[in-house]
Amino acid sequence: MAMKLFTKVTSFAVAGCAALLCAGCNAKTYSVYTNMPEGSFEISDSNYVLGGTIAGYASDEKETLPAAENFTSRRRLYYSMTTDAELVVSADFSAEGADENYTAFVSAVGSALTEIDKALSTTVVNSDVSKFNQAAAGATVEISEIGYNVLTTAKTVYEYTDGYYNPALYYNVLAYGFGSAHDYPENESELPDEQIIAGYTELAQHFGDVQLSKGEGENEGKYFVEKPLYTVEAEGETLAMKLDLGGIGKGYAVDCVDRLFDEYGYEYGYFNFGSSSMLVKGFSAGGAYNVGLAGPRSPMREPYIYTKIQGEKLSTSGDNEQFYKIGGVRYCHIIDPTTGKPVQTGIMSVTVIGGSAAEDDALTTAIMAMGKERAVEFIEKKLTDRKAAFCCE
Amino acid sequence: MSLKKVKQVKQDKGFRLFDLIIYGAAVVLVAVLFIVIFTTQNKDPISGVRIYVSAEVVFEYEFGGQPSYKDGLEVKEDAEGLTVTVRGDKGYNVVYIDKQAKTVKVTDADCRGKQCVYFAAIDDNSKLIYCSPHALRIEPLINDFNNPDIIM
Repeated sequence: MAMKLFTKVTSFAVAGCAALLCAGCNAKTYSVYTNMPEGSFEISDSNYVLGGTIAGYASDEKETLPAAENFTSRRRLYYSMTTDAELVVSADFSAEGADENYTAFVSAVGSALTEIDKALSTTVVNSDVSKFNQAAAGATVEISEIGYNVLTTAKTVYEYTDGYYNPALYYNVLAYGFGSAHDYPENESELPDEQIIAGYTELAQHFGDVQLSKGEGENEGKYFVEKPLYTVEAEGETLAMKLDLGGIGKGYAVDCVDRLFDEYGYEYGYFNFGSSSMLVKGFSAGGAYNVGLAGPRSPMREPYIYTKIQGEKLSTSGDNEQFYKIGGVRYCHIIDPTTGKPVQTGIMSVTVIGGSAAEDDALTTAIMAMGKERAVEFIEKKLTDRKAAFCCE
Repeated sequence: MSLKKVKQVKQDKGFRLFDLIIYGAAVVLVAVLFIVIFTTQNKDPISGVRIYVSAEVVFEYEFGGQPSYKDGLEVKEDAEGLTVTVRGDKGYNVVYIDKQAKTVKVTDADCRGKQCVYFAAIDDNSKLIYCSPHALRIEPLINDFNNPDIIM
């Protein structure tokens, strides 16, 4: 009897140990690279290790806002650009006129998000982007100030990243099933033809030819964009350039909300737009917010790194937002402009902190496509005024 | 069953020691789970409500504030409460939020079985209502604004 009990207990123990050992063998380790100063961040997930620190960041110490007495916080959710946005404002709401100011503020934020969505959406019929996409090659299209500003930033980052950020990869995004319909291929035979993808990529490489202008004389106050003349032939059709500004629009919205915070006199709170771009003001209890960046391979979005942020904007891009797998290969919604295919550089997620959120939004997309070595070099030499962190397989 | 097997079964004890250990562990586990679930539930009155459709927040309301919701939802408000009609491709649900009693209930739906209509009203932070056919979930609004941690 004792022998039987011993045998059973032993077999359970052996099985348990084997299971733990297997789990340990399967746990992957990911590398983190950052230019954040030592001590200003903490890697919080044991599956992530510091792969290397990147030089070049010129730190600018900021004065921490003091703890605010009598402050309470209010929260408002929005839905824009097919995602949720969360606004938290901390203020003394017992003060005279505080309620009215808050109501006007949340309404102004809502209106700004609606206007930006209307200008940048690829599905709204008369949006700036739709008008551009429907126009013939070489045509000039009148756009809103929002469209003009966003396209100006897009062109700046396109040039600054040597084309690694490219919003003209519209056909490539669609070909891999990442349009609004999310029509993902189910096997290799359903993946797009490489020759067609090469054509789409060649078309996108003319994004630098997009010309922006402000109206003069009787057109004073109007904004225009001229579509490149270049076209490609694909599947019996002549295709002109089309744009998708989704990779920069949320960041632009965060910049607008930042201005509204200032306009309405709020110093404490934050605005999180779909976990893609975020504005972080002061934390009302004193000190900075402790921002955790969600691990790209964690189903429960457990952060892999924490850092204190106050009075800054940040953006994140990752291969975990929209993706599918075929034959063990991950296909995500971010397209590598050098191949025209979903990025497979090994970089899983990139975050850029500081500066404008619109620029950060585009920069993170670009770094995703660069690959580790080029990304490290780019951050070291060209992002000296911003903090950046990325993790890779 | 052979005669030998019948004799063997008759000779066997009802329970062996190892069986008793397993049964005992199971009873202890159930008791611990029962205690944990019933002592850690948040029975505080709700401060608001949030409605999700397919994991997407479509409506949020905090008592005393203004509702925020996705375009397409029908929201009627009067002094007593709010009536929210959520219409999707699969059908509709009508949710009533009682401002005075601070309760939330589904009053009508066209889903099969109408299980969501028979759910108890949400009147504390431990309850929720779920409509599986319409992928609709109603949860109490729990805000922890003083948390310095933000996950991006």
